[in-house]
Amino acid sequence: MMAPFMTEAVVALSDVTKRFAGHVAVRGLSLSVPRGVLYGLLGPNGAGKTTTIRMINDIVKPDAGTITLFGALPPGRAAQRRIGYLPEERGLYPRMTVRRVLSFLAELRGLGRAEVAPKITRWLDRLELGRWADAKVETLSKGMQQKVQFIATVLHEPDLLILDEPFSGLDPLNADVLRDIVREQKKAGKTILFSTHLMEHAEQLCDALCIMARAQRVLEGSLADVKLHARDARNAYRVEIARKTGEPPAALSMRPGVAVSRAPGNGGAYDVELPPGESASDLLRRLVDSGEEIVHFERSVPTLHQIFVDQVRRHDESAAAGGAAHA
Amino acid sequence: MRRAWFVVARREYMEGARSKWFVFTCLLAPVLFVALLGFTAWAQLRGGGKTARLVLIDETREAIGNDVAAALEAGQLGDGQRFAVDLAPPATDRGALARRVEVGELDGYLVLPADVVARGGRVVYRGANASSNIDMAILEHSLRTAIVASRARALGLSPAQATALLAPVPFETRQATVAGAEVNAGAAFALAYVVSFLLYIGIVLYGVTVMRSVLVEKSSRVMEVVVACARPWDLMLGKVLGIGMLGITQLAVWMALAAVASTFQGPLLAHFGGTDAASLALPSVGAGLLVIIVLFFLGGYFLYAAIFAAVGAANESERDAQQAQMPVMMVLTAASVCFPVISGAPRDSLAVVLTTLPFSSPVLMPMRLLLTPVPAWQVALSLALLLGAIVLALWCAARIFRVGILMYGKRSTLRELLRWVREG
Repeated sequence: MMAPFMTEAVVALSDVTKRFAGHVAVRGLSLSVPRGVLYGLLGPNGAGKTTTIRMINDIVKPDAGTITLFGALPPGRAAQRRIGYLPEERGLYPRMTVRRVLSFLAELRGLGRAEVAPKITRWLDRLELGRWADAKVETLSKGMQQKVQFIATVLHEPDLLILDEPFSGLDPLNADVLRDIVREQKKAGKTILFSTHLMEHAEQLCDALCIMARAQRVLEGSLADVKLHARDARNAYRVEIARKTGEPPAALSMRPGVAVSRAPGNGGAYDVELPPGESASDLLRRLVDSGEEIVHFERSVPTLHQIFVDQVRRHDESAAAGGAAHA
Repeated sequence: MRRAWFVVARREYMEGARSKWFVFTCLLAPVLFVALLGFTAWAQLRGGGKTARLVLIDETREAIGNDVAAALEAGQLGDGQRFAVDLAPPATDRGALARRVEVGELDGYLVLPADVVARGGRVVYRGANASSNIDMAILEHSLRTAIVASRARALGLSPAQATALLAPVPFETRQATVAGAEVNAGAAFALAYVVSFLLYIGIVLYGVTVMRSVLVEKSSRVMEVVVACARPWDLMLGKVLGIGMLGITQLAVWMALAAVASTFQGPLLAHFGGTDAASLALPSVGAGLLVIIVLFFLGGYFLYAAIFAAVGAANESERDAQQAQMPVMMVLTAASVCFPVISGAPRDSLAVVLTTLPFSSPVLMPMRLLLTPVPAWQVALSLALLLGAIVLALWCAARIFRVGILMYGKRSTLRELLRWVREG
């Protein structure tokens, strides 16, 4: 259905499965994150996003399938040096000073102490933490600690950023700081993989995405493709007429199986969903014949939120049906 | 490029060395120790010059009361304490004496029974100082001297003959050690105990530090970033090495302080009763033996530190970990409770077994080595088993680490731990 990405994949999962005692966290997952792309891993809580991210980071090992990073590397030490990881559960050594904790994490990734020191200074100054450099982490506010965490993620100039639910627990100011960093990293050609269950963030930020539900991939592709495909899969239209008050025009719903709802806005706009096979031309003709003044008529593009809810619900239904069939 | 375990070890070492706790124990612990020693010495000395008053009831037919009293009053303790003895007739009211002891007028009273010289009747002392080993030793010694002398007289021996008969037989024990050198047995015994006890303390102290360090990483949630940068094996190794180096540093500081203190040894000893300093000289330990002891110390530390780290990784809070570490502590303590087994019969098969098993060999083998020659193959076998146990423990710990560090909010059962080790 979706055209494969033509660029080299920075992260490629092929039929990856991970079981924990009693349940399957990830089942037969394949996905591909192209270079230089902001890639969203979307799904409800418990869909397997964090397990997927941990497998890429070599924190847990897959039971089956292969993971290839940067075109050639398996998850492990060599790949870890090129990854900046911001986990959902975040924390720093409370008794260490900000500078030392940053230096330690960068050195773990193979940087030299001397080479990392000026970078720390630059980043701390940039995020207005300069005068806290030699303070212990435990004396910093939660918000400041989060900023230190961002710095730790990008300090070693990774080629791939992996952010697990990056906006959860952030105050609005820090959310902006992180968004700026992410955009800037992308501009510098870095690849960013992030997970979220908040569709607004995904819609604003990501170029490509994978929706997961119940440990499986529901769909994958570029945001534009996903939206186009979702638009084409539905027979839905946005109709706006000049008349802003009163009942919806009868012409919209005179056929059986048509769903009409008033669209948000200044009135006069309606979302119309036609049954499959119904022609938009017929709808338009009926409207014209009814004498309503048509201001605007377009095929509706669903929001990512709608796509997500649709897809996850459809997946759940088919999973339930499949389960029933097996029983 | 630095290896990850080195970076981890350096962090553990530097952060540990910077902590107030470390500086405190390094510098203040010896000061406190010396202060404690000084206090006990002072507490004993302040009794000096005082006189223990006692009443001697002489029921003997030979009337040796005067001799005993003279011998007692001649006896002197190291701190200069003396006995002052009043003789009393057999008819003296014991109840009245007991009351005088009670109110503190008297320290005690001694009854010499009628048949003590001829048939060895029992001498009874009742006093407030009966629990004082030193006082009672003097008392017994003086009694024995006087009674034996009067028995000699009864046998018709002259005082010179009696003295010749009672001349002491010099007896000295020398412990044959692995180095082939002979050393004073008492000193070898003391050294073996001190070394083994220090090993035990060091293993407990620093093993628990490793466990704490793991718990801090878990509770601060820093662990997930760290395991995304380094293999659990590197983290384990780095932690155990870094904290081990911290322990060695501490030991070095203490030894340096002890070396400084020992230059004042002569004057100090002279002050505390004038003991001959040479008699306290420890047996010299050969370099080879020292290396082996250090190997056992490091091995014991590694083994137990790995187990403590696993305990930390498998638990969420310090309180849970405290409970979970109990079995580990018990094994280690059980090993140190076996000190007398080794010192009592260092060549017995039980001693051989205990010094071969990896869980007890680190604290017990050094003791055995200091007391008796141990065949080289036994030392080699013991070290090999210890090394094997360390690798196994580190490997298991790394696997428990990998899984356990990401398990928040629940305690793990032994069955789960075994599954983690299998699946790791």
